[in-house]
Amino acid sequence: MMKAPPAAKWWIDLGLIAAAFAILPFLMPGGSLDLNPFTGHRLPFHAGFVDLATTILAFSLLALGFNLLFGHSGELSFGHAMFFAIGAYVSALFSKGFNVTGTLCGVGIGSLQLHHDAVNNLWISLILSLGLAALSAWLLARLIVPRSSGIYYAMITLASAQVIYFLAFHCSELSGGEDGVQGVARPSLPGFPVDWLSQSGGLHMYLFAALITFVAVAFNYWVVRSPFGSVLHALRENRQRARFLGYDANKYRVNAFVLSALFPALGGWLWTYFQQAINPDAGSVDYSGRVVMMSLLGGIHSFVGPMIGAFVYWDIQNSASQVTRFWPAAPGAVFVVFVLAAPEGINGLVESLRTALRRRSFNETARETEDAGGEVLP
Amino acid sequence: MSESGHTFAYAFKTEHLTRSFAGFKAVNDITLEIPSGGVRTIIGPNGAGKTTFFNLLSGLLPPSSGRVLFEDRDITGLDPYQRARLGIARSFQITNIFGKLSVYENVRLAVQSLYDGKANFLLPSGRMGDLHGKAVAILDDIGLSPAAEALAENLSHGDQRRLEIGLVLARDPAILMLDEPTAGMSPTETHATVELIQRISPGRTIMLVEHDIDVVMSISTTITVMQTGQILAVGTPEEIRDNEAVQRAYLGGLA
Repeated sequence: MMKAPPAAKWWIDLGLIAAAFAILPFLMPGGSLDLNPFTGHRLPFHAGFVDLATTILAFSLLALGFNLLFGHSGELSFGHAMFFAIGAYVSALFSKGFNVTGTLCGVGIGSLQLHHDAVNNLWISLILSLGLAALSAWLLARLIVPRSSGIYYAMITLASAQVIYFLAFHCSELSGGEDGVQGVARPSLPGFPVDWLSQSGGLHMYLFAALITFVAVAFNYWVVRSPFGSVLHALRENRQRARFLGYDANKYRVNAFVLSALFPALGGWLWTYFQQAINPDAGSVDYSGRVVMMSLLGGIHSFVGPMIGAFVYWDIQNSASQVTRFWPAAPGAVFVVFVLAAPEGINGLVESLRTALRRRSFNETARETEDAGGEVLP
Repeated sequence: MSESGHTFAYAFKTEHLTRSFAGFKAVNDITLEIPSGGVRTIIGPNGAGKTTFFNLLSGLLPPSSGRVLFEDRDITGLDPYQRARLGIARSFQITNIFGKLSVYENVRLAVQSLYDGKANFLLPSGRMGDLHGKAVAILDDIGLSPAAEALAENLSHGDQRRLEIGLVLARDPAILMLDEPTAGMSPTETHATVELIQRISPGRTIMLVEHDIDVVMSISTTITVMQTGQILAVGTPEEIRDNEAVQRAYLGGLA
């Protein structure tokens, strides 16, 4: 009887990702362009490097969530930053507190007073961020999934993100408007000194973010390899066939949407404590679009692709900003080259290189065997 | 599902089933019983409405009016996935498989659909019954075990069509609807497919839309002839061959 195909070695994959997170702060060349590495000016834990690495982690989460839909289910959401914004604003407002009287979003609320005191609790904030993101994702998905597909789906998600963006912008009594929520305290971690997260020039914040991100990455990895993940791949390949096999396609699409919203929300939650501030940009079309770019750059059909894309994107942007004021064009130019020349992204390039090398070494072995007079299997 | 299938006198029943496209009635007021069991073939000239009729029965299209009953149950408003769960499976005129997945994964997914309610993201695959064993049995059945690890899109046309039959077999359906299963096949492939259909037909109803008249005559229990959206004749292969109206419709091509 035929054996089951070998299971992917998950501990190798996750181990490599953990190793990558461990060395990520050392891989930030952007900040070093104006420093001479030979004079000893280059400090490995220069705040700029570490903070860039933390930024990459937050955006990796956004990209991973996005790609659960795009790469794995084949559905393009052009508004995934809305969940990043929801996670970020919920944690910021919960941690800093708010007090709204008189009007909200410019509308009179009478004698109603919305009041919440600052709370120093990371985990309640996390549950609220994830919970509200999941709830809004579920409501939205219930609305759009049965009614749209393809470009219409992309446009409705884009429009929904715009709604969040404008709410953040215009409900300034709560959200702080254009300035956003400033001065959010970094919470204390149980068992650590009160300001531990702010110590060591950002390194501690990075370590904390890396641990959280790693747990999320492992969960995402589990999801895409679960029976549920297989169904998402089936829907991506051929939704009609999946339906005619007995799969309730829309149920899976709704669930995938909700799951995919959790990762950006987690990224937003980290972002708030990392930046200690949040503004409406977090939910902007710009952020949603960048995530599409990152995922395509890294390769949407691989698990690590979106994370590689987030890394490369920020590295290019940071490097370019050191040398030219036209730096926003740099990731765009690289993106165009990739879409035209390597649609499977960086990961696709690496894969084809590996295949080519393997084929070459196979051919060489074959030739040697032939020279030795041995038989070669076709 | 299939166990209960043949306790019913008919597999499908349609009542005044009609489907219009911009005023053109592709299926026009068809009231028909399709008996349980056997190979029930639908033939007819191009544009007769065969595939539309199939689409109405399998749920791909909603009817403009009329009803579809399956084993005494009105299924007119059911989604394809609900019909699939009742035991109605179909293949398509244009091969409909998961091209970028392996042949094995295609079949495994088809088997997994039996456990759809349990396929959540926390469950390890191992807890879903013997998916692997059932998938392997189907691969053996359709003769594609040697190609299990190939990408489905890289199979030959004939093998892809056999793979699709394998996918629809996974739920052990009471009704198997095959839309031109031998289209574009070589004589050898056609022969193998006919054998496969005969092998899987006991205990279920097979519905065919087929153009290859040798195939139709050799495996059909009854033949339903359609023309301009309506039923022209129903009968055994011999009766249909001798039917004058049918001969006229085909301009003598059938005789």
